[in-house]
Amino acid sequence: MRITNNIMQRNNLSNINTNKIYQDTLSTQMSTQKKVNRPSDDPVVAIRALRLRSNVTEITQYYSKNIPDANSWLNVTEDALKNLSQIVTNMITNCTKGSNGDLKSTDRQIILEQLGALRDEVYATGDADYAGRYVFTGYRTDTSLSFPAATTQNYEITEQLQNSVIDKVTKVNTGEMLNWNNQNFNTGTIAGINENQISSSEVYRIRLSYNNCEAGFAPTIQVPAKDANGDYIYDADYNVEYTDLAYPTTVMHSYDVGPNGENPYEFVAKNPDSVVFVPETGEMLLGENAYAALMKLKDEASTVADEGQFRVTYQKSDWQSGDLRPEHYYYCESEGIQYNTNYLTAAPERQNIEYDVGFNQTIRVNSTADECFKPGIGREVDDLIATMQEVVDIETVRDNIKNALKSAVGADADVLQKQLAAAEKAYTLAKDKCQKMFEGGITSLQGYLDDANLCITNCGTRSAKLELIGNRMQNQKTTFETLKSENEDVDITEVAINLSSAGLTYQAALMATGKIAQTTLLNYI
Amino acid sequence: MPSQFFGLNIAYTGLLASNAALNTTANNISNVHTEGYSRQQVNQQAANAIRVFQTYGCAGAGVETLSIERIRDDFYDGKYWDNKSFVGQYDMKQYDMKQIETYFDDDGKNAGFQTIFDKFMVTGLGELLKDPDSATAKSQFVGFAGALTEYFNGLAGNVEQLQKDVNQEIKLKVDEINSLAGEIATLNKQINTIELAGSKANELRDRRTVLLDQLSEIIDIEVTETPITDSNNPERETGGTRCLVKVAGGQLLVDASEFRGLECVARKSYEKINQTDIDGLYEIYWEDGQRFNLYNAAMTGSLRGLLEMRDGNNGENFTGQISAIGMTPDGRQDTVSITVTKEYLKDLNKCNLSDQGGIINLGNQEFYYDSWELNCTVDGNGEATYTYTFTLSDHEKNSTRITNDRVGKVATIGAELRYQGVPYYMSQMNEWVRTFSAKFNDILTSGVDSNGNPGTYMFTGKLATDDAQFQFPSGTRFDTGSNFSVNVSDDSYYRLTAKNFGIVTALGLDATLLANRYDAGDGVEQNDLLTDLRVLVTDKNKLDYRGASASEFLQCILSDIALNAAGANSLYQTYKDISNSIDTQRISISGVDEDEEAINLVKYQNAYSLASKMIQTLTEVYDRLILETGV
Repeated sequence: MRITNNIMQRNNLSNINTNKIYQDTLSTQMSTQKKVNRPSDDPVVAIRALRLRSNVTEITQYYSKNIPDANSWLNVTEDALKNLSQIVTNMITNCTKGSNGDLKSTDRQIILEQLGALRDEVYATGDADYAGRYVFTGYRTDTSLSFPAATTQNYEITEQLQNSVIDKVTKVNTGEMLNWNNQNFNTGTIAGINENQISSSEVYRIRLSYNNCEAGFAPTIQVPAKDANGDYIYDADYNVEYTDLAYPTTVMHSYDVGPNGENPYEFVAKNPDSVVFVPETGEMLLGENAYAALMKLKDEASTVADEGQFRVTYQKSDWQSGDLRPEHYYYCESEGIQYNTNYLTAAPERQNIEYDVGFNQTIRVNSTADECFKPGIGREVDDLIATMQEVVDIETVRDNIKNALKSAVGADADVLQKQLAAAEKAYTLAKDKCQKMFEGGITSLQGYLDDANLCITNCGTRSAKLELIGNRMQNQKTTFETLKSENEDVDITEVAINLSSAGLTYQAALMATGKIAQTTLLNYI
Repeated sequence: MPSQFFGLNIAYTGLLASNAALNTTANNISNVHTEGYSRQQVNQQAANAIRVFQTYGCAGAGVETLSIERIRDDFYDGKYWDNKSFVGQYDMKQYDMKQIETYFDDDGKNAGFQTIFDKFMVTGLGELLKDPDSATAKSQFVGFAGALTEYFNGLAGNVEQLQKDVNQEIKLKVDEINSLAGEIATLNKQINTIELAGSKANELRDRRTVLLDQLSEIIDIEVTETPITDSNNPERETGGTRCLVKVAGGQLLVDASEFRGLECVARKSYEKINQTDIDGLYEIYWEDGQRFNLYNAAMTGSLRGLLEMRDGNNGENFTGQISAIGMTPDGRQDTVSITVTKEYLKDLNKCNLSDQGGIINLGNQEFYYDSWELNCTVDGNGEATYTYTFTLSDHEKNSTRITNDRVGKVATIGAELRYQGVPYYMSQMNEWVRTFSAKFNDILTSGVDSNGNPGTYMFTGKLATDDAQFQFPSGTRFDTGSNFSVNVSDDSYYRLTAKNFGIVTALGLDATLLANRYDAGDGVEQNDLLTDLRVLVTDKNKLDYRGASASEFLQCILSDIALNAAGANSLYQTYKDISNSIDTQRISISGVDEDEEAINLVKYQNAYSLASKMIQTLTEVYDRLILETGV
């Protein structure tokens, strides 16, 4: 081939240019620390880099934001639960004191005061918040656990209960005795108070979650329905259908009297078919037969339904400050909104707040009020306070009668003597009841303490799990960052060596070209 | 016996020949760096001998200079031109792909799709999932969504600008073709003028080759040069030649001293092909009014590269079979129904058909249409039939009416151009934007907002004409899987494009309108709806974009771009290398070599000196003969 000087110059120039392109690539890599400058340099690396960067963003979100947030939430919950546990423990201590039969009236007073204070405190603890969001109220973080002020708003509440909650309550029938005073002791019915009028009746009851319920609405009790063959009836969603209990409910105020002058408790004790609702105390009193009908419900191994359950629907409109909001606990309806519709279905969904803390990994951060801040705590303590208050009241009347007797003469003394005997009997009955109630209170409060402790344990378990996840996320973050770096970052040593060798090549090419371009034959002619 | 002075004549011819050769050498040396110059050579031969009627026969009569000719091999020119047109084609592609690559790239520093989308769906949604009712988290989320829509607006704007630039460059290239063709025609005439007189037009031919080199980069050329013979005596060549230059696979551009010009005519707004095309894309016509086929598969060169960038639709143009011809209800306009089977036409999300009217080719005859409508009917077996019904323009645009004999014929719009150019990327963005918006909005509107009111949708588009936004009424859905009928003028998701993509104004002003849960009875912390949103973008079974999930948009499209760019780069490099090696081959034959010329210089100088010496010697001989012999 004929090579002209121009060809050589062109070729050399082109080679020098190739060297320069290579040097440019290397120095760009050196200064950006990236292997590829444009996606087309290496499409595979570029596309993989996108995915890895996306992963790092996601892990950063989990590790730096979601896990710390979940942790704070768990801590706030745990602190509140520890308070709860402390409060319930104190309640139990007071119950233990209260269950002692020989208490002075001052001791009772102290116990009453302490229990009252503890009762107020227990639900206030449930209003704990995390950055302005209530932590125990499920998804309703914008709603406090209890009413902050007295409110009037009608709720129709349906409680789904197990028949094991039905307990027996003792009522000391004191007649007119508690109305006794120095002025009226020998007038009207008070004058006739005697030992025979004092009795106690024991009835089955369902203690609803609220007292002071709507008296104008007769609550309904519903039980699972059966067909003619005695099989449970299911609806389209495979939920057991419910039907009204055969014994209708009547409403009796605590001060109402029956046809024979009996109070609601006595009335129920005498009428086995009756079901009486006392709105003031929120109690459903069950006659023997009604009770038996409810207790007949029991689980059958062959069915999926929990047949031991029954439902009570009632209404409440007047709310005191500190009353628990029913939407955090039950299926209820108020002002056209239905809350917790799925609580009555076969698959109720709890309002668990789950935080994403890893790839496809969530952790539950909240404990809901229906797990730990149960309405039963307050109701139990209310019951105890009422019972002890009754003892205190009877004791006061008894002591007043005693005092009156000291200065009384004649017929008055006879009346007072009879009345004292009646008061003594009532006092003994009430004290017995009180002792039993407090003993029972210890057991049931112990149950609530267990609930609280279980929640604390769960919180702790979650915290521990979260820490493990956190460690793993940290590792994963490092792994992904390493992968990302391996994928897109240059190996500086390699580039540096390549760059200096490219520099050498470039120098050599320049030298060769310079030598060749300088002379032609013409120089020698 | 020859004349006593014969020798002086012989030496004189030598002197002349050497002189010519020295001049040619001087010319070569002077043009050593002239582009396209071919070295020249003096052709000489021994002059005819004289019969001297002596025993020794004839006597040599010296040297004769025949011609000065350039050294050139036309074979390499042809090869060079063929190759050069590919260099031009890939040069354009690699340049424009580099721009597209820059627009779409996301290296973590410049905020590309992945960064922005992760901000939206990882960070934004992540915070919102933890605190679903927080107005701050909601407005942050909506803000990130806004950034995403703006990203698409900007991207679409950039890609549109590219289409505009490419279109302008097409016009420049066409002008350049015209100017080169004119110059070539003039040169042809001048060459013939010189060569008919018997000499060689070396310099003019070199200049013509340089022009053809330039032309071949723009468009493929085929050059033939045939000698012109005497019409009375076909055996006799006149010395003149007829040079034909054909372009784009055999279309005549230059015929000897005549050439056909090309001109660019901008498409009118009702002549758009793709929905995403900008106004005023150029069609090219020959000056005589005949249409220049832009999509001629045989065409190469930078013009081809530019066209593929401007109109490349990955082969996805509208095509179907005419099933019926009818009339609009008012009886004023003809309609034509076309059944389509291509997947990208069945799904309007993927469709890129002009929404302002255009030209449709019905059985090889072109008609203007004003609007269209897509109907889907599902038969008893669940088989869906998709039919587009075009309303043809009235007689002002269409000179003839459609006739019934067109039924069964093929209908097409635009051309099938198997390259991923601007319309392809636009269409890909639109498909993602439409699919994503529809599914995302569906979830949002099925929930309730912070105040317990039904949730509002988030993504919409702005109408080009006024400030109103699309409402997407339920009757305009085309993803229902059952019978539907959507007109191009309906507020359907088809009208939503990457360019007009945006956030519903109300939501931008008040982020609490954003739904986060399905059931008003559930508390504000319920995030079941938000969780569904997250599943939507990461699960390809919920939202399938090219077989991947919504969040993998950039992976899909960037791999197209990167591969196209890498392909253009490497093909450009390959053709450029080949071009260089052919050029080297040409220079090897035609180029001036300084050493060679130096030798020639010495050689011809010696020859000249020798001839002069000869004359001197003969002078001395005559001196002796005339003055001293026999005196």
